[in-house]
Amino acid sequence: MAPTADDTLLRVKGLTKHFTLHGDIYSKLAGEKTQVLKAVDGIDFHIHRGETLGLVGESGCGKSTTARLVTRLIEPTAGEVTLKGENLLGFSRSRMKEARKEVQLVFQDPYSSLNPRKTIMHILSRPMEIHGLVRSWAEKRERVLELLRRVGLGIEHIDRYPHEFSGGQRQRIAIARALSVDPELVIGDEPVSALDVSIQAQILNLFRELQKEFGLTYLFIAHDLSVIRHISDRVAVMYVGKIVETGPAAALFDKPLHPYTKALLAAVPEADPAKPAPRLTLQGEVSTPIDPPPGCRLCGRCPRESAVCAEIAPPLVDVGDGRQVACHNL
Amino acid sequence: MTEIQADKLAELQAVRAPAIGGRLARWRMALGNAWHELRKSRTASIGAVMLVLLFGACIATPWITTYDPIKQNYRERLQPPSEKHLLGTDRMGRDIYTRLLYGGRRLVAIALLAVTFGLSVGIPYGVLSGYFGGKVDTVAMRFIDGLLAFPGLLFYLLVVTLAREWKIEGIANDAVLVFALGFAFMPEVARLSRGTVLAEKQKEYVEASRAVGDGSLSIALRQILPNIISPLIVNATVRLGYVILIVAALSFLGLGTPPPTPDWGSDLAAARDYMETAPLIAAFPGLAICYTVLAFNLFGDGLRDILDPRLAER
Amino acid sequence: MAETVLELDDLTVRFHLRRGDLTAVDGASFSIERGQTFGLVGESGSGKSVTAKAIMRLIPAPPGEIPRGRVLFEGSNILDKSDAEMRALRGRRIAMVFQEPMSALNPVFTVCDQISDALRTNLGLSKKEARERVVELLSLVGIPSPQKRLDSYVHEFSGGMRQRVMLAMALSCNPNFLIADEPTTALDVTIQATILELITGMIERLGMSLLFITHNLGVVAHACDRVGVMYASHIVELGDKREIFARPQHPYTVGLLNSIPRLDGQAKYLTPIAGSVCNMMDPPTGCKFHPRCSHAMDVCRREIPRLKEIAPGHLAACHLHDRGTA
Repeated sequence: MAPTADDTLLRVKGLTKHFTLHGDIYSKLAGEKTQVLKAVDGIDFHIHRGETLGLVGESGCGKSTTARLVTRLIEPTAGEVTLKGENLLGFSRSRMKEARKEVQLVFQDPYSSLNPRKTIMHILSRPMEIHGLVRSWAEKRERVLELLRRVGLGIEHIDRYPHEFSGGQRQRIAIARALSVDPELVIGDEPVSALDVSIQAQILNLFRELQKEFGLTYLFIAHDLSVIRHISDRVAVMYVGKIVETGPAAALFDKPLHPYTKALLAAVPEADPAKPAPRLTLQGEVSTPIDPPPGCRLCGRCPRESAVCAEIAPPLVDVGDGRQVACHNL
Repeated sequence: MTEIQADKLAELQAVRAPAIGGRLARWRMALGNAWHELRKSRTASIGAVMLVLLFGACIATPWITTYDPIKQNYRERLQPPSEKHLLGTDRMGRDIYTRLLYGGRRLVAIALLAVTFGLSVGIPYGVLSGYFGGKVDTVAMRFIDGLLAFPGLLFYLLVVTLAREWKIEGIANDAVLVFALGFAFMPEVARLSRGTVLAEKQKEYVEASRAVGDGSLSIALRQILPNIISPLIVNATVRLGYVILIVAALSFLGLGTPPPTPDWGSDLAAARDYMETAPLIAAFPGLAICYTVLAFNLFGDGLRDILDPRLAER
Repeated sequence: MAETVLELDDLTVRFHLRRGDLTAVDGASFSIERGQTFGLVGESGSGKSVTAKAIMRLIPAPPGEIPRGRVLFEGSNILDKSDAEMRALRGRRIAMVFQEPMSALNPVFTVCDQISDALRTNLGLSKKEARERVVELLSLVGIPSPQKRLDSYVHEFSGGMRQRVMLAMALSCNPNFLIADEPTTALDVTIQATILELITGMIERLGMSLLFITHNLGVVAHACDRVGVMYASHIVELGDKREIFARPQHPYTVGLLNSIPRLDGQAKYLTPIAGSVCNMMDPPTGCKFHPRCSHAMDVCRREIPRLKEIAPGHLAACHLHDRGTA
C-alpha cells in the first residue's frame, strides 16, 4: 500500500486524563485544594496501518491508562482519538459498540482476563454474538475452532474452563478472543510481562505471525525494553504522563536522544556478561504525577538540566528521520 | 464441497455429537464432582447427609405415614411410643410422628421460599448497585442501611400482628410469613452481593467484556454473577436454618399459624403443660428443630470451608 | 583461599498435598564460596524459591518434608540444628531479602522500630545505640536523609526505597551470608539498576556471600559469579557465569538464552522452547525436560541424567554429554 493520508489508522491528539483526588470531608472543610493526578497529560501519537507502535515506560507513567482511553474504557478529560478518520470520542453508544469491533485489547494478566466460570467456547463466541457475526451454532463452533487452531490450541480445548490452562495457553485464548471480531487494531497491555521467558518468546512470535497473516496493526505496551525493541516498528517512550521521545525502533534504541530514554536503556541488564553493567544515569526517584510542576517532568533528575527546564514543559519536536523528542537541551 | 471443507464438517460433527448426547453423562459427572468436593470437609458431608434425610422425609411424608395430622382421637391421647404410634400421641390423640413430618414439610417449604425470595430480590439489587456504582450505588445502599437498622424480630411481630388484624389465615398467612422472612433477608443478600461484585468488577475479564462491546446488564448478570454465587450459597444455607428457628419461635410464642395446623413451634408450646407427665411430647419437636437447624448450619459451614479459595491448595 | 560457606548436598524437598506428592527440589547440590555471588535461575515453579526457604529452614512441615540431603553452612548441617540454634543463625549469620518488601515488612511499626528490634535482641544494643546503628544502616543502603526517615512507616516509602529498607534490615546484624529471593522483580528497570548496584557493591565491601534467586538472565549476567540453572526441581546446569552465557551446555539453558529478545534487535523471530513446563504433580519419566527438548533420545525418557563435569567447574545434567562432548 502506498503511503497516503489514509495510511494512518489511529491518530491520538492531545489525549488527556486527569483524575481529581477527593480528600475527605475534613480536608475540604479546612479549605485544602483538591489534588489532580495527571495520569496522561496531552499526548500525541499515530499508528500506520499494519505497523506496530511500542509504548514503553515505567509503572505509573500512564501507558495502561492510554490503552483504556483509546478504547474508551475510561473517558478522557480532553483530546481526540481518531480511528480511520473518525473521532471515536464523539460516537454515540451504539456507534461506539460497532467501533469496538475494530479495536481489541489483550490484557496483562491471563489469570484474571478470562472469566473463570465460562468455557472457552463461550469466551470466544460471545464477542461474535454481540456483533452478530455468526448465524448458526455450527458456524459459531467452526469459527471458534479455527481461532483456537490459529493460536496453537486444539479442538480438545473448546469445552474446557480457563483454570485448566497454563498461563501461556490462557494468553493464547485471550489473543483468540481479541481476534474473534476481526479487529484492525489490537492493543496489547503488557501482554507478555506475566509470562515466563520461554513462554514469552512463543507469544511474541505468535503476535508476529498473526500480524503478518491478518495485516493487523498493534499498539504494544510494555515496560520491558527488549520486548519493545523486538516487536515494534516505531517506539514511543512515556514518562509521567508525557511522551518524551518517539521514532523508529532501530534508530531510537541505537541512538537515544532524550535523557530519559538514555537512562532507561542504560538501566537494562542485558543477558550477556560482556555488555556494560546496568546503571542509573538519573538522580533520585520517579517524579509524581500528582500536581506536577509546570516545567519538564524530568526536572531535578536530569543531567542536562538548564534554567528553562523548570519553567516550560518542552514540546515534542521533529528532529528528522521520523523522530520526535521533547527536550530543551538537545 | 472441497475436501478440506468436508474434513472440517466431519470434525465439527465429531465434536458436536458428544456435546449433545453427553448431557446426561455430564450431569452425572457434575454430581460426582460435587460429592467429591463435599468429602473435602467432614462437616459438610455430615450436614449433607442430614439434609438429604430431611428433604427425603419431607417429600415422602404421605407415603411414610398413614395418619391424619389434624384429626383428633381422644381414645388414644397421651400415649407413649409404641409400634402403633412410633413417637406416641399428643393431648388430642394425634400421632406425633405424623405431626412432626407434616410440620417439617411446611416449615422447610416456608424457609426455602423465604430464602429464595430474599435471594431473588437481593442479588439483582446488590449486583446492579455494585456494578453501576456511583450515585446509584450510594442511594441504593443507604436504603439498605435503613432496612438493616430495623430490628428483624420487631418486623416479624409487626407483620404477624397485622396479618392477624386483617384476618389473613391459612395459606395466605404462610405467604405473609414467607414475604416477611424473605424481605428481612434481602438487605443482607444485597450487601453481600454488592461487596463481592465490587471486588470482581476490578478483574480484567470485566474490562475485556466491555472492550468487546458487551452491554452493562449482560456483563453484570451473565459474566459477573456466576463468579459471586459461592458466598451467597453459603450465606443462604446458614440463613435457612435461621429462618426455621424464627418461624418455630414465632409459633411458639403463639404468633404463627394457629392450631390445629401441625407446627413444631406451637406443638412445643402446647406440650409444655404436659412436661411433668409426658416430657417426650415436648422433646420430639424440640429435637426436630435442633436437627434441622444443625443440618443447615453444618452444611453451610462446611461449604464455606470448601469454597474458600485459601483452603483449596491444602 | 576459597573457603566454602554454604554447601548443598543432594537436597530434596517434597510437599504432601491433598492431590498427591510434589517434589519441588530434587537432589540439588552446589556450593558457594566466601565472597561469591551464586545465581540460581529458573522459571516459575522450578523450585528455586523453595531451595532458598529450605536453606533458611522456612519450609512448613507438614505439608513440606526434606527426605534427604544436607545443607552445610560453615561446615555444620543446618537441617540437624535445633530451633533455638536456628533462630540464632537466622538474621545474625544468614539473612534474607524478599521480592515483596511490602508484605515482608510490618506495616504497623516504624522503620526504626523494625530494624532496631533485631539489633537489640540479637546484638544486645541499647535503644540509643540501636537507633544510631539504624541511621548508619539506612545511609549505607543509600536512603537520603536517614535521620528524617527513621520514624516513617513502610507505606510512606516508594518501592525502591522499601527494598533498601529490607536490605538495611537484612544487613543489620552483620550476616556473612545473604539470600536474595527475586529482590528486583517487582521494581522498575531504573530502580532495579540502582538496587543491583547497591547489592553487588555491598557484598564486595562487606565480604559477604550471596545466593541470588531470579528468573531474569540479564540480572544474573551482571550480578553473579557462578550460576545454577533450575528446571522442574532439578539443577540442570552449573558453572561460571561467563562459561554459561558463552557456552551453554544444557538444551534448556540454550533455549532460555535463545528466548530472550535482545536490545540490539537482531532476530525477527525468537526461537522459543516448545511446549510448556511439565505438571509437577505428574512429571514425565527420565529427564524432566525431554518433552520439550529437540535433542530428546530414548535414554532421556528412561533415565534421569546426573550432573557431569563437562569443562573444569562447568557441569550439566544431560544425556547428550554421556559420550565425550557434544
